[in-house]
Amino acid sequence: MRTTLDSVLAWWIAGPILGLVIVSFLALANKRFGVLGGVTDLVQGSAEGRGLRSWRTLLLLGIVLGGFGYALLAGAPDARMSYSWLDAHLSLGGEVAVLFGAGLLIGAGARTAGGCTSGHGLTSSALASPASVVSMMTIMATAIGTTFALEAVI
Amino acid sequence: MKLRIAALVLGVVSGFTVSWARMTDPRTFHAMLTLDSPRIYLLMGSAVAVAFVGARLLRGRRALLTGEPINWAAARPTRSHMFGSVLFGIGWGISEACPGPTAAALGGGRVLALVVAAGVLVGVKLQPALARASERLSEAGESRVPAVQGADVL
Repeated sequence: MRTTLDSVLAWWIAGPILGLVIVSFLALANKRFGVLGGVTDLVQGSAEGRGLRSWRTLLLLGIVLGGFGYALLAGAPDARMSYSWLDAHLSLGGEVAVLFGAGLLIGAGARTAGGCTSGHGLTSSALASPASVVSMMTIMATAIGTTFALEAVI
Repeated sequence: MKLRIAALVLGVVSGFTVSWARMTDPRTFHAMLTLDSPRIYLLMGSAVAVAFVGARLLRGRRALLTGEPINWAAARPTRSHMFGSVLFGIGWGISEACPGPTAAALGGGRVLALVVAAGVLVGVKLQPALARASERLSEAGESRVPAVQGADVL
């Protein structure tokens, strides 16, 4: 069990599982799978409800629990202080500030855009909504551009 | 109630899958965004492909829990989609994380994912106030920045 979980799950298994999760939400209740909605209902609420009354918050909670479950079974490969290649260039305080700022951009940006990688990138792209296809292409292009710019500067 | 339980279970499945596919490790997104590895593009593409086919098989049928017809509408891209996606993409490039995998990494014990998650929560909470401020500035003619209201969260 441990050795299976230690190896990285192949994309052609992980991707279709996420696809089936999207299909399940449609089949069960004609709902769109999206993580940002869970965050929105956690901090503010929507027509879907607020906090634990909203299925979207429970989806978010489930994702956290799924990460916890994997950690229990696989020996917690993510349980660590190190974060990314930024570790080598920043003090801990500096990294906390940069990551919090990045989180602010993600949160405010994704809510302005009406969705994140799951809602726009996976679900509504699969439903061929032009707004989501364009959003996802914009997100990807900006993220790739930012990565190349950071690599060039640092 | 049934939808909330289903959302929790589907969330656990998603969080476990995302963790096992190592999307909870910023190095995974680094390799994706530097274009060194096609794995996450293939993973997302296969998720979209499965959801695309599943959604079209389901369209017009009745949802199992609610009985409502399964359907969706296409949305046109707006300034909010573009502007928000650019902010989100910059945040993703810096943090090498997006909301879903960050939630799973949090469950898996990645300490600094807590900082990204805190930023996302605050950013989502502040977004309506930022949108109102941008609208006021543009109405007052004090800014050339056009108003960005924010798209409906999917």
